[in-house]
Formats: sequence, C-alpha cells, structure tokens
Amino acid sequence: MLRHDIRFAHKNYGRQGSEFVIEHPQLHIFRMLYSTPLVTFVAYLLNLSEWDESSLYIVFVILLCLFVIKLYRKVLTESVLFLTAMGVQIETRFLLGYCTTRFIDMANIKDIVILEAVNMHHIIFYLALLLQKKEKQLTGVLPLFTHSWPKLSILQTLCETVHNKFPNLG
Amino acid sequence: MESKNIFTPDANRNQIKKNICMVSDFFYPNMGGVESHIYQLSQCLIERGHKVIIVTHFYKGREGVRYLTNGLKVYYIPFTPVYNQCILPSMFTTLPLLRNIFIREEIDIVHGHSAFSTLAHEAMFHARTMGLRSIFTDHSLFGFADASSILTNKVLTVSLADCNHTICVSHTSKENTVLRSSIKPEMVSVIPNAVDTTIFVPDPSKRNPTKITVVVVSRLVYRKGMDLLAGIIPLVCRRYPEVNFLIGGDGPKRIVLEEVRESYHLHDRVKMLGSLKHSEMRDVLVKGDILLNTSLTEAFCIAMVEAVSCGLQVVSTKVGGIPEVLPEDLIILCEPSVQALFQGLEKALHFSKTGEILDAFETHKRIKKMYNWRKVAERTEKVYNNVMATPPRDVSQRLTKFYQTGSLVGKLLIIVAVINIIYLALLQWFLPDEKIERVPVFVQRHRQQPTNKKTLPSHEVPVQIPNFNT
Repeated sequence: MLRHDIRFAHKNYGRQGSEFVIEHPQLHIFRMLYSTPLVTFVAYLLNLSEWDESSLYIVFVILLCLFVIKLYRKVLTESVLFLTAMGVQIETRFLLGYCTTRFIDMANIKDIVILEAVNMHHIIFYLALLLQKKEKQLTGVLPLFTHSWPKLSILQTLCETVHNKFPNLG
Repeated sequence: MESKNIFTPDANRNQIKKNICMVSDFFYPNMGGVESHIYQLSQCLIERGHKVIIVTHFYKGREGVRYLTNGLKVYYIPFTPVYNQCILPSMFTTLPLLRNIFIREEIDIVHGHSAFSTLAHEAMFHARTMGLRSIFTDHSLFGFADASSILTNKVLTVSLADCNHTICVSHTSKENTVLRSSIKPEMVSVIPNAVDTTIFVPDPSKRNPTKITVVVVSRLVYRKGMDLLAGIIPLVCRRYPEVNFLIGGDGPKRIVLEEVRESYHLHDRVKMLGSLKHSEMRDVLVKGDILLNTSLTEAFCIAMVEAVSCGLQVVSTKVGGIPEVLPEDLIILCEPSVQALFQGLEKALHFSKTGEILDAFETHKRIKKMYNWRKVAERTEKVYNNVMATPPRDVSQRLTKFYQTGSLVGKLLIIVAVINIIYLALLQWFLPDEKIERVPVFVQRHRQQPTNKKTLPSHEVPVQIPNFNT
C-alpha cells in the first residue's frame, strides 16, 4: 500500500556521503482511544457481555497477541547511508528499540535504480541496489525502503543525488 | 487533475500521439502468430511516435514489469493461466490492477488481441467502463456448430457489442467475425498480417541438391490438418524415393505422425524436429524446397508468407483466408483431402524437378513489397484516429447495446456492467485517480560506457534499466 504520510529527510555530509531517512508516522494512541466508544457500541450490539467467559478470554488473548505483534513490527525510521569509498548502510529502527543494520561494500554495488513491481492491486515504484557478483550471496537486486515504499518524486531526488555524488555508478 | 501533466509537458499529445495498451493472454515467451503480431505492431507504432505498452498474464519465471527493445513495456500481471494459456474469466478481480495500469500509463486506447484471450475481453470491458476506447483484433476463424465455438461466439458477441472497432486479418476472417458476433460490417476493418522480411531471407545453398525436402511447420493439432498429413506421407514416400519430410512443431497429433513413421519404416526420411522457436524458423525453412500446409481452418497463414519469403514453393489447402494471402503463381491450392493434396504436391514436385520454380530472391522481393509491418502500423494508426474522433458512448447507450445482445444474456450483461460501474466508483473513492502516480515518459538515452569499467563476464546478462527523465 502506498503511504503518503511519511517524512523524508536528506542529511548531506558533503563529499563524505549522504544519508536518507524516512520517518514513519507515530503510533496513534489517541486515535485508538477515540475509537473506544465505537468498539464498545459494537460489543453491545454483539451482546458481548452475555458471551461465555472462556470464549471472551480467547478473544482477549488473540487481540493482545495482535497488539504485541503490531508493536513489535512497527517501524520508526528507515535510513540508507551512502559513504563514498566505503559503502552503503541500510538501517531500520523499530518502535521497541531494536534495529537491524546491513552494510554493503561499495565494490559490490553496481548501481542504484528505480524499478517497478506489482503489489496486490497496485503497481509500485521502488528503489533498488543492483549488486555485483563478488561474493555468492550478493547478487541480484536489493530493494530499499521496503516498509514504506515512498513515492516516485522522493525516489527520483534520491537517485539523482546519489548519482551526482557517485559518478562511477551505473 | 493537476498531477496529470507532471510528466507530460505537451498537452497536445493526446491529439496526435496516442498511448496504446495491447492486451492479450498470448505474448512472449509463449510463441506463435498472435505473439509476434503484437510485438511487431507495437514496435512499428513506437517507431511512429506512439507510446505502447503490453499487458499479459505472468509466465513461469517472468512476472512484474519488463522492458523490451525501444522501451516497449510489458506488464506480466499475476493471474494464473488455467486453460490453454488463458486466465480464469472472473470479470471483477482484474479491474483494480488494470485500472491502476491504465491510469498510471495514461492510456487512450485499449487494443485486445485474439478471441480466445480472456484477459483481452476483460481489459476491453473495463476500459469501456472507464470511458476509454477499445479495439479488438481477431486472429482466428471459428465454426458455428461445436460446443466450444458456440461458447466463444457468445463471448465475442458480448465483447464486441461495446467495442469501438474491430480489426480482422483477412476478408474471410471479417466475414466470419461479422457472422459470429452480429456486428455491423462497417465496424470491421481488414488489416492483414505481415512478416519480418529482413529475417526470412532465402539461402538456396542450405538445400539438399540431391533430394527434395518438403517442410511442414505448424502446431501438430487437429485444426492444422495433421490427419491429412499422416495420410499423404506414406503415399508420397512410396512413389517418390527422392522426397524427404521435415516436420517442425509439437502437439497432441505428434503421436499419429510417429505411428505412420513407425509402421512404414520412414525414420530416415521423415524428420521430426519438435517445437521450434520463432528464431529457428528461418533455418528450418531454408532447408526445404516445398512448404506443405494442411490446415483445415485458417484466418491468415503467416507461416506460408514466411516460407515464400524464404523462396519455397507452397502447397496449401484452400480453406478460410488462405486464397487471399498469396497471388496465384506463388501457391498451389487444393481441396482439403488426401487425394487433392497429393496431386498438389505432385505438381509442386514436378515443378522442382523440371526447374520451373520461381527464383527465390525474386519471390522474396515481391513478399517484401506486399507484407510490411510498417504499412500495417500505418493502417492501424488510421483506425486509432477514427476511433479517437468518434464521440464516446455514455452509460445509457452502452447498456442499450448490451441489452440487444440477447434475451437472457443481455439482461445478465446489464447486471454485470452495472456492478462493474459501481465497483469502479468504489475503487475511485478508495484511491482517487489523482493519487495514482503517473509513469514518466520513457526516453531512450544511450549511456556512455566509462572507459575504466570492467566488462561483465559473458554469462552475466546486463540488466536493462529504464531511464526516467526528471
């Protein structure tokens, strides 16, 4: 799904490189609180209070699990750091504090390109690193910003900046 | 609608150059006449300045968006083929994705190919719902009696009722289409197929001078008259010891031919090549002296034109649109029976023995003049211009058209059409047209290769990257 409420920032480190950060929207606690009366009303319509106790427990546990999974998978920021002479660091920060990082050596990167893919009922644009065959596992394309799929104009500015800073790409 | 013109600076583009979407279940890597027709026509339309994209269902190992030569974009959309390479007719499931493609590519005309293709019919229906023009090209002839053709004919009636224009590949095909789908004859144009004469060049040195080779290239199916072929092979082989057969293609009737080969001990004289790639066609054709076509029904036999372009003598059955394809001196026509075909073949053999055959390069030149993809594209462009000039139909006119297709079918169709309109409105509410990102114009830019760059190893195919102008 295309998301338009993300924030994009470009941190320019001059000749050393560039960092591109995509900030995701915060978790809407208030929106959840506002929807409580609605949920209560629906519960009333379904006669939830008259349900058998054990099935209510099951529903509660399922909902709690879903909430925990959502919290666990919620992404705060995605960033891609391009460093001249070094390589590319892809970082994803999650709400619960942990973060995943991946570093790819400049020698393995052939180019950065905008590609298109079919995503359910949409065709999306996405940014990808073309990897070169140096090590066995580093071949093919590596999509970037896979949690947000930013829109084309963002991708175009990013691509252009990178190509200006790294003239030997492509 | 301000976002609509972000990537297309000239607003007049719609008047002159059009954005065309070719839709068919049949496209490369699948092989056949329809596939190469779509590809060649698209290439020539791109050459004339139009923007062309192709939509087809995915093939094994080929899905998503691909680019072919000259920025011809192909969408391999994820709908599984169920029967004969066609997707399951589901009407509504294809709408969201097709709408997305039509809007992001700013399509003006949707051009469906082949009556068998479910995807083409659905795409044309959705295009009409969205208010775009639709054109249909029919590539094959049908009967009226058996169950499958009754069903396909009904589908065609329904589909063509709302289509802006129809193109057929021969006059016989036009007659057939008009009868089958009960549309007005003025709604149908005839634009024949063409061949790429730069590929199909004669090469008499490849022929076997001591023998006469009869080539058969077709899918080995009932429609192509393989039972007739199975009858002729033993007759010819018995009477003419210098004649060899070369059979290219595959299909359910292969077993019949192999049986014949087995029972008459003709392994050294009848060579079966199995299914051929289109690129291998020419190499097979130039090995032969005579092309034998035994089709029982054919709208336009492209293999025959390719063979004549390679300088072969053609013997064919006189069915469907075949008599209009080639001038009389280039073809020997016979009735579709074993005896008549045998006589025709004897005549051709007599010509080759006495050397009365036409010069291969002379016939190649004549075909080059007659069948040219650029001319086909020019004529198709005229159809596009006419269609764009006609005022669009509104909903009530469309529904009236649907109602007239049949007493029961008409009513069902109206229900489907109305549901489709409501579904489209729902989709527009969830994701408005303006929110869909438009695709930038593809500009072919020849990148300069950096001199210090290491060359790729030969097994690594360089990825073709579309260049977007920003």
